[in-house]
Amino acid sequence: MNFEFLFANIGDLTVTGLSQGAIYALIALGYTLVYGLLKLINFAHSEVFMMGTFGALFAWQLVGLHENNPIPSVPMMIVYLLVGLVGAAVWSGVTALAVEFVAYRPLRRRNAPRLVFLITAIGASLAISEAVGIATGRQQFGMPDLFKTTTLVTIGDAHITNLDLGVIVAAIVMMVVLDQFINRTRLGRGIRAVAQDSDTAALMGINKNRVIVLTFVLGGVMAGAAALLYNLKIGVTRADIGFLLGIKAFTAAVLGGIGNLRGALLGGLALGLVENYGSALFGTSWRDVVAFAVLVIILMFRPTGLLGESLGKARA
Amino acid sequence: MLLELQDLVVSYGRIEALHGISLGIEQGEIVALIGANGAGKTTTMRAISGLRAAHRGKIFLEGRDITRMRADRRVVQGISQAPEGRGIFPGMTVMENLDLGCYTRRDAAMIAEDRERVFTLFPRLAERRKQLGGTMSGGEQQMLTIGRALMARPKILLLDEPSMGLAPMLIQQIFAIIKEINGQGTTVLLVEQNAQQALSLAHRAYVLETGSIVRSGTGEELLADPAVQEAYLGVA
Amino acid sequence: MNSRIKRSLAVLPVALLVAGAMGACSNNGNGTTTASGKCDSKIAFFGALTGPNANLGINIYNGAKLAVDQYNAKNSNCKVTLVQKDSQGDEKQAPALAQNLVQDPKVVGVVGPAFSGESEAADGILEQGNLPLITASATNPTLAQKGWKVFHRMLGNDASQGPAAASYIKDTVKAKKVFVIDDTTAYGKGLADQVKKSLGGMVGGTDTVQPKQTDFQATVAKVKASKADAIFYGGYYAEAGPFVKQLRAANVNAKFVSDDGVKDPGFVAGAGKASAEGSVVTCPCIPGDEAKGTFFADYKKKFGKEPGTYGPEAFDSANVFLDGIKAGKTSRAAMLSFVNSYDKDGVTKHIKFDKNGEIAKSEIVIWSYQIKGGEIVKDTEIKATS
Repeated sequence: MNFEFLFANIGDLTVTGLSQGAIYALIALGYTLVYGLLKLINFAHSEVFMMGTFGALFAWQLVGLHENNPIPSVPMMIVYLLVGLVGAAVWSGVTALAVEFVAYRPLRRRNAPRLVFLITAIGASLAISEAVGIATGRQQFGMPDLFKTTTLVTIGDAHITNLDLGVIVAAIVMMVVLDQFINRTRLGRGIRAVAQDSDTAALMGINKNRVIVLTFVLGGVMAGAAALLYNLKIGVTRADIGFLLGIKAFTAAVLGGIGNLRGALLGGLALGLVENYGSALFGTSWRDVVAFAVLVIILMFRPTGLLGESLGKARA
Repeated sequence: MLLELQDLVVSYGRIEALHGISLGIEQGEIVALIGANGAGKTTTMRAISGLRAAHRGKIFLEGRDITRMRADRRVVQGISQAPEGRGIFPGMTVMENLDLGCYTRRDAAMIAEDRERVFTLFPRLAERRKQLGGTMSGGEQQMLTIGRALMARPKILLLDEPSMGLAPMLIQQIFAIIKEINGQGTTVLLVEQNAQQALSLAHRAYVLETGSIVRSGTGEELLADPAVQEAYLGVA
Repeated sequence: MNSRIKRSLAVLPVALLVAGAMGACSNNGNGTTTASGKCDSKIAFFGALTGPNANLGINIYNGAKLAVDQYNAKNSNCKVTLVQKDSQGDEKQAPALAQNLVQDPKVVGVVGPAFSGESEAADGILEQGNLPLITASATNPTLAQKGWKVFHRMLGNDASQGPAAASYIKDTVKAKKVFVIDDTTAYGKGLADQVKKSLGGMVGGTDTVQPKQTDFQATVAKVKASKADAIFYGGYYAEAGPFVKQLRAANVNAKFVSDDGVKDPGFVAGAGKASAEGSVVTCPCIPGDEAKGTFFADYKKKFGKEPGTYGPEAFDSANVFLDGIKAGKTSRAAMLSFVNSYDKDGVTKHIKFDKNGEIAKSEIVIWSYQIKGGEIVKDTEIKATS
């Protein structure tokens, strides 16, 4: 165990861990929202994210930005970021809706048992990933550079780059906006009402299917935002990237307490940190082992996760 | 006729819970539906609100067939229910619960007016605006359920067992408020096990036994009916 | 019960869809026509045509395809078919594909398998089928030491490339401290081990990454902390691209030196032009324009671009088999002894295999290449030191 390395680099490990965790957190929201509402683990959400990474790429190509373009000016960079965000959010949102309409809604209409939903979710995930794999020849696609990464501030031994800071801030802003939407607006109240008691929600005049659609769209948009940040940070995408990130994000959701929005944020950031610290301590090959070991240990002591409430009960 | 059920049959799987019941409620009335546990009272309410599909028979609101209408659409059409067992949202505050009551409405001024009206009827709710529904006492939760149903400004208010589990003092209070609500012009369909109170309050009433209506009449008539007395009023 | 069956049926379309998608990948139309003379011989390409590292496989396929097409143009009365087996670069898919080739008696030679990992998984099966193979790219030295009689290699192995890369780092980069990373594959780890051995005390840290990994945060932190001035990466371009991008994003400016598996435009695409700039790769393969004869011009004419990594070696490999077919060696046994006694000039080198199937030491060349302005340009020929 390399404590020396861990402590010598604790600052940098924390910064990069948080920015990785922020991406997990944004994806985790999609799992948590759908679980909170339908008690369904939407395994296809990993592919919703994957589609987002391609959505941003297509949007950039559409406006003529290619992987080897020179770094654009600041105003153009902002334009490209927005174009990428819209592209990612639209593709992710459409994918999420397609899954709901094609896979889940017909099952709900037939009152299918839980297990059938689960198998359908896994099947939908595989089908999307394979279809994109075939369509793209399983190739890896590089992303254009939108800005040059520079160190903005150095606190102690922590070098905070514009990229890491941007990712963390963007993710937290998205989370706060979503949290406010769920807790403060009429539509958000509708989502919470259906999550808590869908029959009583119907007695309030709330259309359950419309709320479900809204929830899938919200989860999709968040996954789209995560996809954009991923493109900026990681720099490549492929048809099969969804699986591992999906598992990680799902872990983050469970870690924080599935169904709980703030739990997803906490779980994502915690997972990012644990992974980074763990790989510093035990070696990079142990990264995933450490992450899942921590999950098991936390669930042993807090079976419902760190914050452990459902979407319905989570309160502003 | 404001609300009318014609030969309504509702089943849970293969078990028929309602064997074709018919009843009607006129504008401005309080109508009570009394019966023992498992007689089908709550099923009737759920069918009227659209939470249970009708197997056979029809439901009319103001002469319009609403049998196949979705539950949330019926709220817009004027049917509002305070469900049994205090179906409040425990994780939301009193204010949020009330706001959900007017989910389908957009007329901000009228909503504010209705909220004042609910707070006047239930001063306790005004005091506890910010409290979580789940942390309130049984009586307070019951008030919240009724207040929330009123926020939809319904043509007909469905009250399912408003007195369940409450202390006698509170029961008196709740029934007084129901009377007041009716006095302000809202039609009420009341389901109760507490037949004595319900029959004294209601203009008319129906007696439900194992999924069928066995008697009907005005409140006084049924109070005086020896069979009703023996079965529901504890008079030997 | 009835309704439960109906519910189950609702899942069926999804299940079929999935099964269909999977089936589509393994549908090989196993044509088993009856033997008739010698004019239906096939040679096979085995390697990645899809998947993250597919560009390397496609280069090899194109090289072999050029050879076969030229042969068929000259022998239009007796054409040879080039069969393609797409492994996706995945060693788990390799055994089934090898089995498939063995079962087709018309296949008398295999160009490939392309990568070392899939070679380890597939070559034993080809050996059982006595099906001769010439790989144009798999450079792990141990492949020649497993007693596989069918194994041949058209280029130098990593026992030559490793020391060459190490001497480049020592003599040309003049690095003091080198961080060595491998991707845990037979190829990447094998080569990185060779480099470590040659660098000795200059190794200032090591780490591993996983195939298909995209997030290299943890490794970047280690490299950064080590303050190394050069990095050697043993692996393929799919992982190397984003790794270098993330390295540069963390302000690590150590010289990036890697191997033939990274020698592909896909590396530049993944890293971005700016981050990839100045990176160096070594390769026991010759640059396309160093090939003898008309190969370079022919390739460019056929595919509209310059030959990629291993293209010339694949062309030579295919031609060995085509010469065999021309000489009437249409059984695997005859082909094998033909390949073993082959002694002739190809476009890359004079081709003659030793008893392990390796090319003669004197014929081994190692080149270094540099990324300049987003292009991979040839740098110098490094003399093999072992």
